[in-house]
Amino acid sequence: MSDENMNNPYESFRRLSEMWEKGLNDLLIQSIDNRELIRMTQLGVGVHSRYVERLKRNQELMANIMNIPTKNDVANVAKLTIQAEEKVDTLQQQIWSLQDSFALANQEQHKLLAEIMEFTKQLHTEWVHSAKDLAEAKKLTTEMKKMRQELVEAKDLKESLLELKQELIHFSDMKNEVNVLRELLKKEKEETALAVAGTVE
Amino acid sequence: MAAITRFKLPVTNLETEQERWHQLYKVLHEPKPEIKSSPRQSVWRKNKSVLWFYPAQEKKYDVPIFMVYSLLNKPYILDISEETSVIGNLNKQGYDVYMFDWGSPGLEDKGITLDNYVLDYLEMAVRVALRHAKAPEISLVGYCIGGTLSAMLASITDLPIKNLVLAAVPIDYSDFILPDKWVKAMHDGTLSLDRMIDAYEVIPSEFLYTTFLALQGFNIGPNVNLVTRAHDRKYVDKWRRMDKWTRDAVTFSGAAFKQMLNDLYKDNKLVKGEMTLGGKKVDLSKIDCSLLVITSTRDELVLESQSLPVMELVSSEDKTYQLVEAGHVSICLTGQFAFAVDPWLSTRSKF
Repeated sequence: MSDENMNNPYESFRRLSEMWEKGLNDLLIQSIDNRELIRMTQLGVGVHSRYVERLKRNQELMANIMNIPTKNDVANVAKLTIQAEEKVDTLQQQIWSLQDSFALANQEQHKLLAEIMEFTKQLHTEWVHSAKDLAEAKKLTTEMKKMRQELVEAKDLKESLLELKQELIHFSDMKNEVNVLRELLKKEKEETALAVAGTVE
Repeated sequence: MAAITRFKLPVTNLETEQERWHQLYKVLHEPKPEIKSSPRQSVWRKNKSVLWFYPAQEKKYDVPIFMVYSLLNKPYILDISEETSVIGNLNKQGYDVYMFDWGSPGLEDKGITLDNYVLDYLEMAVRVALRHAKAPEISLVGYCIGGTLSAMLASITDLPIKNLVLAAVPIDYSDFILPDKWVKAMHDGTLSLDRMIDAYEVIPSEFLYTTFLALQGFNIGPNVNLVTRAHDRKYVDKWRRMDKWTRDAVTFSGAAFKQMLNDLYKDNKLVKGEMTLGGKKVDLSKIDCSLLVITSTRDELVLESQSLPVMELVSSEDKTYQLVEAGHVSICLTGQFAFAVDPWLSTRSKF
């Protein structure tokens, strides 16, 4: 028999039930969508609620007379545990907030420390620079002192030179005088020679 | 003659049938499957709620994911089996995932309001996750009511939420899945459950389960699908897990339930900007992080029109809307949610 003529009965059953389900649900929605049923439901809810309330009241009453704990008593005890748990939660939150504050403070402290370290490093570098500069300045001072000494010495030398110059001037004057004298002597010699020559004639 | 040629003979295979009925027998008589979670560790506990951490198999993204599931069901649907786990697949893709399990409230929790859930539980859990992950930012992924609470938190908190993903999220309650007259009755107060909530104090899980069943009307689809595909062991395994999760309902704090019905369903305060939590006004326009809104085509519990308005209400410049071919639960059950979220989140999960 070919597949075309065969049929999965379950598949047909599924399709049929889907159709039925949809149809029945539409019918159900149509039939319950009326105000009377809503009023009836509200009335039923009220009656049921009163029944439950009375049942609970009587149960409490009976349990009270018989001195046995009710579910309310157990709930009240459980509430204490919940309250304790809530307190623990509050404490935990406070611990967290403290931890966060500490972490933040730590972070800031680390930042501050890093800044101090950086500053100290800079200070150290500056210090090394200053020490170097100071050494150089000392060296310079020594050199300046030496130069000053040399300058003093140079002053003495200058004075000596001035004296020498003075002497030289004096010597030059003397030389001039000597030259004048030599000139006079030469002239005298010539005059003497002329005089001698005149005499001879 | 033409009618004869159109008729197809119903044919089945003996082996398939044996397997089908064997599996159906197992479904009926064997205990519900045990659901093992992906590797996880609890990071923080408060009352009945637990914050779980699921580490990435090979971490690729810096921003962890924080998942918030609905208050109405248990969150293990997000990690229902190794193959289809939403959380497992996100771990495989390289995300660290935190998941907040609200727990099932007891009578002592009858006074817990939405204010408490958002400010004392959710906000604190996100704070713990951020601290645990040592991450400066986090992606908040909310599903169903979990999405509504995530949106509320994102609009009032100063926590560093980088991305917000809202899936199948009810934001606008001007319309919801009830018939029109019932919606109107809820809005004008003709139908009020306040007295019943006060009487019960804590809404029993059976009440919520029955309500879900009632909202779905005639819902024979899952059972018919099971019979149709019972020969497929993988499908049966998935079906059984889903069945277990559906029946495994949670209780709901009376005060929160009342607040949800009155502030959201009745007065639609979230959209109107009138909602307050812990004295703070919930203003959705204060949400300015990247936003992804996902809705499913076959969602029968949260209408698309309930999710869409959030796109206009937020002030985020980077916002994306995505329509996924899935149902309200099947998007999580099949693990499809992880693959829908990943392409968008992967480009926004690095510092």
